[in-house]
Amino acid sequence: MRFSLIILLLCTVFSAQGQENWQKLTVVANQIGTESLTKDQVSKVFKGNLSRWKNDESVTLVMPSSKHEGCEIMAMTVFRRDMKYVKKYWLNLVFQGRSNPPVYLDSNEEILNYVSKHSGSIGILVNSNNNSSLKITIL
Amino acid sequence: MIYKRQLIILLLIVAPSVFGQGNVQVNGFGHLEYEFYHKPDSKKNESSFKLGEHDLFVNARINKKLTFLSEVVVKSDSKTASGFGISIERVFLKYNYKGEHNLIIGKVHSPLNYWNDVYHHGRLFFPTIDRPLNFDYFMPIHVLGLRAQGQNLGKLNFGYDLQVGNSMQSTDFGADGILLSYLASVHIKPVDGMRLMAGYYYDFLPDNHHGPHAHSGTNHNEDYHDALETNQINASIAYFGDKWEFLNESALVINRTDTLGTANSVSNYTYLGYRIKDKYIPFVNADYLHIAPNELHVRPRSGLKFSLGMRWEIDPKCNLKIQLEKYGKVPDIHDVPGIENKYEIKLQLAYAI
Repeated sequence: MRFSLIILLLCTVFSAQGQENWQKLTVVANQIGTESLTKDQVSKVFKGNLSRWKNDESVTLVMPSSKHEGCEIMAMTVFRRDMKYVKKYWLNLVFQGRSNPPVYLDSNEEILNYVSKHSGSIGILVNSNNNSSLKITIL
Repeated sequence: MIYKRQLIILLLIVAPSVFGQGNVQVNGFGHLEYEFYHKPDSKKNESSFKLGEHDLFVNARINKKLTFLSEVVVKSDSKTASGFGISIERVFLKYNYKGEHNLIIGKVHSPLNYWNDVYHHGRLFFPTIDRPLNFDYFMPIHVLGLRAQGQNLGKLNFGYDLQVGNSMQSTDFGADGILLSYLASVHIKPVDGMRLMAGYYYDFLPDNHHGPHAHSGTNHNEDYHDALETNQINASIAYFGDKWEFLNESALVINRTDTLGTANSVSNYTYLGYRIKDKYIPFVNADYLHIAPNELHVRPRSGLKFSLGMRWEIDPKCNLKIQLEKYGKVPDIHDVPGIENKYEIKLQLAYAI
C-alpha cells in the first residue's frame, strides 16, 4: 500500500514536471492548415516525421539553437533528451537523406520573425509571453 | 581526367547555392584509426595508424518540393600517386510529389538493410568500428537509378523504397548491354528509436564482373566470367533507445549459375550496447558468415568475428571507439575454408564539422 502511494506520488510529480515544461513552450506557425496541435503531434513534427501539412505546404522546422537560453527546455520537453542528442539526431536524419535540416536560431525574436516570413514553417519559443496571431494552441 | 573530376566536385559544392536560396547544410565527416593485429597461424604482427575516409556532405533545399544531396569522399586508392582517390558516393535530387511520397533520381546507397540506409560513410554514426562482414562479399552498396520512396505513413510509420537502377556489373558511366537491378524494401517504426525492415534485391550479372557499386574487392571470384543471377533477402531489427542499443542484420543470398546451380549463403551481424552516464556505450558484437561451397560470385568462406568494445561520445560531433576483435572460421563448418585467425585491437576517432 505504502509502495503504491510512493509510485503514485512519483508519477504525479513527473507528470506535473512534464506539464510545466510544455507550459514554457509557445508553438508558432505560418499557414499550416490548423490552429491547434496535440503534444504528440508537435513531437512527431519536430522529430522529422512529417514533410507536408494537410494544406499541402511543405514543413519547415525552426528550433532554438544551442545558443538559445531555452534550448535545453525545448529538447527535454519535445525530445525527452538533451540538446546534444537533438543535434546528433538531426545530423543523422539529414545525412540519411530522409529529411530536410531544421533552421536553428538564437532567440525567440529571430524564430518568430523567420516563421512570420515563411509559409509552412513552425517554430518553438521558450519562456515567451508572445500572443502573436501565429500562436498554435497545444492540446 | 583529374581536372574533370575536380570540376565535377566543384560543381557539386557550388550547385546548391546556385540553384536556389533555400537551406544549405554543408558538413564534413572523417575518421582516423589505429590498429594492431596478431595472426597466430602465420605468427605475424602488424601495427599502424590509418587516415580514414574524409567526406564532404551537402544537403540543399532547392525549393519546397525539391532537395539536393551529395556525399563526396576522399579515400585510399592504391592506383593514384598520392594514395588517395576521390569518389562520388551519393548524389541525388529528391522530389516530394505528394505528402510523404518522394521520387529520387541519382546515385544512392541501396536501402537493402538498416546499416546501408542509415550510416552511409559517416563513421560518426557507426555503432561499431567495422561494417558487417557481408559488406565485403555480397552487399550492393550503391545504385545509380530511380527510386520511389514513402515514409512515416500511418500509425506504425510505415515506409517503402522501390528502386530500379544500374546492375552491380555497371559503372556510373554506363553498361555493356541492358543491365538493371531491382530493389524493394519496407520498414516500420512502431516506437521511437526502433525500425524493423525487410529488403529484397535482384540482379543479373552476365560476366560476373563487379563495378564500383559492390565492395567485394579481393574476395571477388575473378576466375568465374559467366552469367550469375543474384537474389538477396535482408532483414534488420534496429533499436536505439535511451539506454539499450540493438542491431541485427540478417542476409540470405541465393545465387544461381548454370555451372554449379543454386548457392545459398547466409550472414548475420548482431550488436548490443548499453549507454552509461549518457556518453559511454560498452558493446558486444558477433558477426557470422557462411558462403556456400558452390558459390561463384565470391570465393567460398566461413567466418566468425567477435568484438568487445566501448564507444565514448565526447561530443555530438566526435566519438572515440575502441574494439577488441577475434576473427576465425566457423566451428563445425568444413565444406569451405575459414577466414584467417586474427586478434585485433582497433581505435577509431570519428568526427564531423
